[in-house]
Formats: sequence, structure tokens, C-alpha cells
Amino acid sequence: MSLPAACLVVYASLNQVHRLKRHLYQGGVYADLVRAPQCLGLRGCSFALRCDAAMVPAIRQASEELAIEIRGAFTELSDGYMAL
Amino acid sequence: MTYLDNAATSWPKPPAVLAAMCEMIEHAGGNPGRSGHRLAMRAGETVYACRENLAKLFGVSDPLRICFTSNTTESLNLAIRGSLEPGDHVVFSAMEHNSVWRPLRELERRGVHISMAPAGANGIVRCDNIVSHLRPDTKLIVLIHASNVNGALNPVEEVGRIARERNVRFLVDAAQTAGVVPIDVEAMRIDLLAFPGHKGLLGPQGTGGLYVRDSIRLEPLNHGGTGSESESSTQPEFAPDRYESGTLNTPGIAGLNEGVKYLLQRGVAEIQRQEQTLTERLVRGLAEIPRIHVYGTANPCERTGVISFNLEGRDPVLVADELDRTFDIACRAGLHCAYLAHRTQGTGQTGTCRFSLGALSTGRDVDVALGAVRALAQEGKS
Repeated sequence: MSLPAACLVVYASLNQVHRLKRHLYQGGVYADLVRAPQCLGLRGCSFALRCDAAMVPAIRQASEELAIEIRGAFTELSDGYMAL
Repeated sequence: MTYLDNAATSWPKPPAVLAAMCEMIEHAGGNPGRSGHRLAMRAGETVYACRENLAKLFGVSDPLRICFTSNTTESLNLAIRGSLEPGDHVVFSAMEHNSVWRPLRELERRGVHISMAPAGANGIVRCDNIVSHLRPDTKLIVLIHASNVNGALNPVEEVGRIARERNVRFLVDAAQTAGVVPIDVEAMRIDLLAFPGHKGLLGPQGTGGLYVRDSIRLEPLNHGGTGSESESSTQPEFAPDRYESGTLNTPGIAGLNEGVKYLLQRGVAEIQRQEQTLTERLVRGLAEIPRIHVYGTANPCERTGVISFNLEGRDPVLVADELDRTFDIACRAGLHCAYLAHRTQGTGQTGTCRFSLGALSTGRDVDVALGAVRALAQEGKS
């Protein structure tokens, strides 16, 4: 049985990710904070929330509520990333 | 030492401030918002925690509207220079610090129109004095919350209401009130709040901040690396990155965070109450000493614990020097980087000696100060 894939939801700035992470945590959703890989082809020096796929809708909703732009969302694959 | 120079910088600091700074340097010394390794991430968490606590302290709903600077002067320059263009009009008061007056005078040379609202001899600026200077093209009102010369507390809530009604941006210089007087940017309708980390907030020197309301976009003071949108040749549009170029004073912010946590736990209202009690005793005691003139209002509800006085016939700098050498009392004398305020209260030529209480000041500090000034004022000491 394969593990559910992790997802990356990418933002422009560490500050934004911290804001979202705290907001989600207060709502009972926990996501990791990681540096976004350069190979995603987004604008440089991004940070991301790393989470289970099931959390992505909550993250999108939180981003909308806080008016923080998502730069991209991806599923982690064994050999790279796939855009959601 | 009896430390009565908290208006310059607070001392001592709560022990947790130093501990947090050492912890940051020793165990979390990465550069927040740049690298992705654990040291950098831990540093980033501490920086964000400080933003959150400052937001809580000032009634700000979004911590990302708190931008770190190195001190109030930088915050004021960012707010003033970031708001004004040639042709704009700005109203400020006759009690402002040089960190407001100097940038405004510089901008005046470049085509910004400036109007100074007078204050009473006690240093308090009446709201109608501000209003009488407003014009249809007024872009900004700048007002010092409390004077660093005589502690005069200005009616920021009233001015904020007028500013909001007239759709004029309102900048408050909270150098002497952050952590000393309760501040709620929503209730006071403050659009820009400039504050130091190293005075009432009990953090180290080299820290400060600016609250920027989310409807406001400032031109940045500095342009450079922000750890975001690196492929772009322009500053990001979003706060706080737009206003924070270069590496932050991360150990300082770690210390500041502990200072703010101390205030949140103790309560700024309680600190204000204690300071008012001590201030009333000190002002009353000084006023009873022959040959001592105390400036500003005697009403503790209209002032903070910043008290200017002079000893008749003595240079205030020499008085401060003797207080230091003979009585081990730290205070500041001179013009306090606030010539406008001294001119308003009539001490533009002489300056004053200034005592300034803080969150950790005690009744003993007041007793020692009064005893020393009494001794200096006696015959044979003049």
C-alpha cells in the first residue's frame, strides 16, 4: 500500500507562510514549513506549506481569507513534482 | 545606580531578554527568510512570534502589518518619506522630535508643504490646533504621542477620529508610549505607528518597528534583498517584505520578543498605573524644592513619567553630571534631540535636566532622586 502523496502549497515569502501556518494551526490544521525547490519554476526564494493532499482545500480557503496569493500547488512524486 | 533615563533607553531589561538573545546567537543563528535549514527556520519562527506579540500588544489583526526597523527614527523616516511627494501637505506639532522635524524640513526643501500646529506651554497639543491647519490637500498628520522632553500626553484618539473623517493619513510617534500607555490602533484610528524596541518595549537597542495599516502602500526607504521574489528588480508589493530589505537584527528581535511577552503578561495598563503613581510623587516632590522649576503639566493623567526640570542658576548639563558622579543617578540633560519641544516650553536656550521613569522603576528611585536634587538645591551646593 503506497503512502498518500505530500503536497506543497507555495508562497512568495516566509512571512506569508508563517501567517498561514499559524492561522491553520488555530483551526486545527497542521502543515510543515519548507523552502520551495527551485525546480518548480516559480519566482525565486519561495517558501511552502507541506501537507497531506486532504489539507489543500483548507489551505486554499485560508489563503483566500487572508488575501495571501498562492504561487503554486504541487504533489510530490518520486521523481519530481506535479502541478495540482 | 538609580537609573532615570528610560526615555533614552530602558534599563535594566527583564532577564529573559538577554537569555533569548544568547539563545538565538548560540542555537538558532541562521538568517530568517533566506535559507531553508533548521537554524534559519528556527530564527524565522522567533521573528514571526515577535510580530504576533507586537500585533497583540497594539491591537493589530494581521501580524504581517508589523514591519521591523532598527529604531523609531527609521520607522518615522519610512512612514514620512514613504507617504509624501512634492506638492503634498503635512501637519505636525510643535512638540515633535528631530526624527520628525528633520525629515519634514528636508522634504520641504524638495517641495512638500509643511504646517506646524502649536502646543500649549505645558506641551499638550489641542486637537483644534491640528484641525485649523488642515487643508484639502493635506496628506498626512504627524503627532508625537507623548513628549520626550516633558511627558505631555497628546489626544491621539481625538486627532485620529478627525484624521479618519477627513481621510488624512495619521502617523503617531509612539517612541515614549509603546509599552507605557495602552495603544489600540483600531480604537485610536492610527494608520501608521512608529515605535522603538529598546524603550518601553524593554528590548535591546537596534530594534524598532512600524505598523502600516493594510490600506496603505508606502514607498520603501531601502531597496534590496528581501528573501522573496528574488528574480524581480523591484521591491515586493506585500508587507512586511516591501519594507524590510537586508538581514534583520534577529538576536535583537528575539530579545524584543521577550520584552513584549513581559508586557503582555504584566499588562501595559498596570505599568501605566504604577508609573503614574511614581510620576505624581516625583513631580510633586521636585516642585516643592526651592529653586527647582518643573516643566509640563502636573496632572498625571495628561503626562507620562518623563519629567524635565531646572535648578535656578545651574547649567542642567552640570546638574546631570553631578547627579551622576555624586549621587549615582543616571539622567539626561540638554535639548533631548527635540528643540521644537524646548522652544515650546521656553527652554530652547537652556535645555533641561530630565528624569524618566520606566516599567522597572521603584519608589526608592523616586526617593533617591528627590534627596539628591534637594541636596543640590541647598545653599553651598549652588
